[in-house]
Amino acid sequence: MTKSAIDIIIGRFGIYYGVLNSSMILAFTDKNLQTYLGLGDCGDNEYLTEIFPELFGFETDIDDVIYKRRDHFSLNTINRTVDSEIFFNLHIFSDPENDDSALIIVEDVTQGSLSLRMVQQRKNEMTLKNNELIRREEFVTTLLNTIPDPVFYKDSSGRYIGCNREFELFTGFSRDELSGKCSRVLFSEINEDSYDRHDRVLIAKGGAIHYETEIINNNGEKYYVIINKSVFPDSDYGGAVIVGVITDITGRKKMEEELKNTTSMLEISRGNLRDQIYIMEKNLLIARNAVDALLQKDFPVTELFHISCRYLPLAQIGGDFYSVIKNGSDLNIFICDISGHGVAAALFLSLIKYFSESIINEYGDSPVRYLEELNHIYLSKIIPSYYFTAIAGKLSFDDGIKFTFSNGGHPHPILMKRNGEIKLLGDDGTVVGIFENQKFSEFSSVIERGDMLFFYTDGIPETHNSADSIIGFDGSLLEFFSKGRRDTLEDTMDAIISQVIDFRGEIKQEDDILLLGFIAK
Amino acid sequence: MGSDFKWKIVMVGEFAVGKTSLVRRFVNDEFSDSYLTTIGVKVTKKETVINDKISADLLLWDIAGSDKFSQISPEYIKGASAGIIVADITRKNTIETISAHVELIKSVNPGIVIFAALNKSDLVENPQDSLKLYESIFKNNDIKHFSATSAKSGENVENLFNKLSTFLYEEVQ
Repeated sequence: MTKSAIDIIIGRFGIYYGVLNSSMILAFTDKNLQTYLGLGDCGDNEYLTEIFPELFGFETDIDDVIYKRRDHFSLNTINRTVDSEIFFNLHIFSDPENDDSALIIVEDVTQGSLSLRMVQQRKNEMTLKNNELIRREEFVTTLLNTIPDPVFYKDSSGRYIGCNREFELFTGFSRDELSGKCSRVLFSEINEDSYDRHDRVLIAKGGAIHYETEIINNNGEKYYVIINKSVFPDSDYGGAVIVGVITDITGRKKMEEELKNTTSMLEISRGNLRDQIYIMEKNLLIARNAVDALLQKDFPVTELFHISCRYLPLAQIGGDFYSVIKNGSDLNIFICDISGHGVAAALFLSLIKYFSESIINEYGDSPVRYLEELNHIYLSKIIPSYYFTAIAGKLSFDDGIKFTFSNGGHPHPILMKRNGEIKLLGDDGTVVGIFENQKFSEFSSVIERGDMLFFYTDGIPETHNSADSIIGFDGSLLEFFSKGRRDTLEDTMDAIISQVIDFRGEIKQEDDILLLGFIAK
Repeated sequence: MGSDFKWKIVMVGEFAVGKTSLVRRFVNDEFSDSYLTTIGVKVTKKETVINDKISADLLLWDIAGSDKFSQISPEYIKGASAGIIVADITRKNTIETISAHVELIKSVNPGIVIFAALNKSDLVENPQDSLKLYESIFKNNDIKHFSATSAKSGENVENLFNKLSTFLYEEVQ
């Protein structure tokens, strides 16, 4: 076989060769090598590294091969562009027939290398995409971890795909533990039917939902939560991905529970209070009736006086009391006002009535002694928690009519003379029921025919109006009574009471109003 | 007449960091956005002039990108005067593996001069910040020069190779 025939045959297998001498000169004994490398215009003998710059730096290795210190030297997968890209392996073998030369073998590996590149390219592109996905996932994870509420996302069959750190803390499961599992597996206490039903509805209808539920986490802790879920299509996860955000409302629920308990307790207390109020009102009504029964309705009929009374009690029980008793030829008058209101005041009032009547025979003749004795009895029998104001008086008929009285801190009697004169009688005195051995003063005044004498409690002078002014005790009170003067006692008293009501206007009555009147016939 | 100097320079780094693009930009002043994986090695010669009077041939060995599964063949590194480790300024992992590349190159060629390029600087707002951020990597690995480059815009590419040529020239003086 000729050399050229051999060259053709090995060329078909992509193998080309040349001979290298000890001066690093390459002889193109195989012309196909020049053609393969696209070196048509070069000479038959060229410096090795001019043809193969890839071998620059390997001169020592090549020397070793030429002088048989090593068998061969190779460089693989060298890439060049001739008409198109070529890849070849370059081998240098020792020449077995010559001591100072070597064979250069060029092995074309273009097809294999292009295939390899295709595979490598695909692999690299996939790695780049994968890295990008990892980077994006890291970004999303970082983003999710900045959200203070638990966040999760699941595939369309309810299996967890991922979550944020807060969700891991909340559930007590790590992300790896959650991944691929369903809620009903992880949270066995959950009403799974309800849970799955919400997911099914969400996937079927799309959009977003939110609902309240209870969760018992991996640590056995129970939470009340609001779960907000929305869905978006994703072919990688069974058609859809559900994203959920959990809002922990356990604290709010506990507060609601406490509020409910408190409300319930309050309701019970209100019921008890209602019962107590009912009992109190009933007691007050009884006391009210008792007080009414205590108050004198009919006055002694005398030839010398006509007596009349106007009494406007408060709804609650007041402490006003009066009595006009015929004592021989005299009339004994007693009027008092106990501090305070209510059942207790009613009880004290009944005691005062009892005390005042029990001493009338012995002390009725002297109003001052009467009052001092009443003070003494009251203080000796009762712990002094209620005091009272009082006037004890006597109308005697010896030589004309004489009014004698003693005042224990009560508003002054008013004498309205027939001639138009009007005046306050006596002085203030000290209230009854505070000091033991209290001394009182006695006053007297002549009453003439047609004169009117009035007793009242502080409900009249202390009546106030919307301008926050009161009727008053002195000159203003006299003026007020004076305006009420009419021809008869009854008309005068009606006029005075009417004026009181008019003065008060829309202001609610705050105290009992008592007016006791006498007119000398 | 031949050049005064001839230096073999290996371009190494992770895949798709732009080694081939840097060579193409430097040698042919070209750039293509399409990515084509390098297989094996492609050697390109470029003549440079140092200080306006010294000519040098740079034999640029564009070696297929490596990763932790496919390391560079030590044969490719042999006889190299310098190595340029290229990393993608937008891919942190390609920068973090610079130390591993330095270790491999120096295990084959202990005296080699190493430069580094953080390529694709056109994709970040402030490349200097990245250089500052990774400065310790460069200094700890005895990297003689590092810069942010863009094969796309050409930013700092020629400067990188010229600096390397000058450095190699000064080394032999």
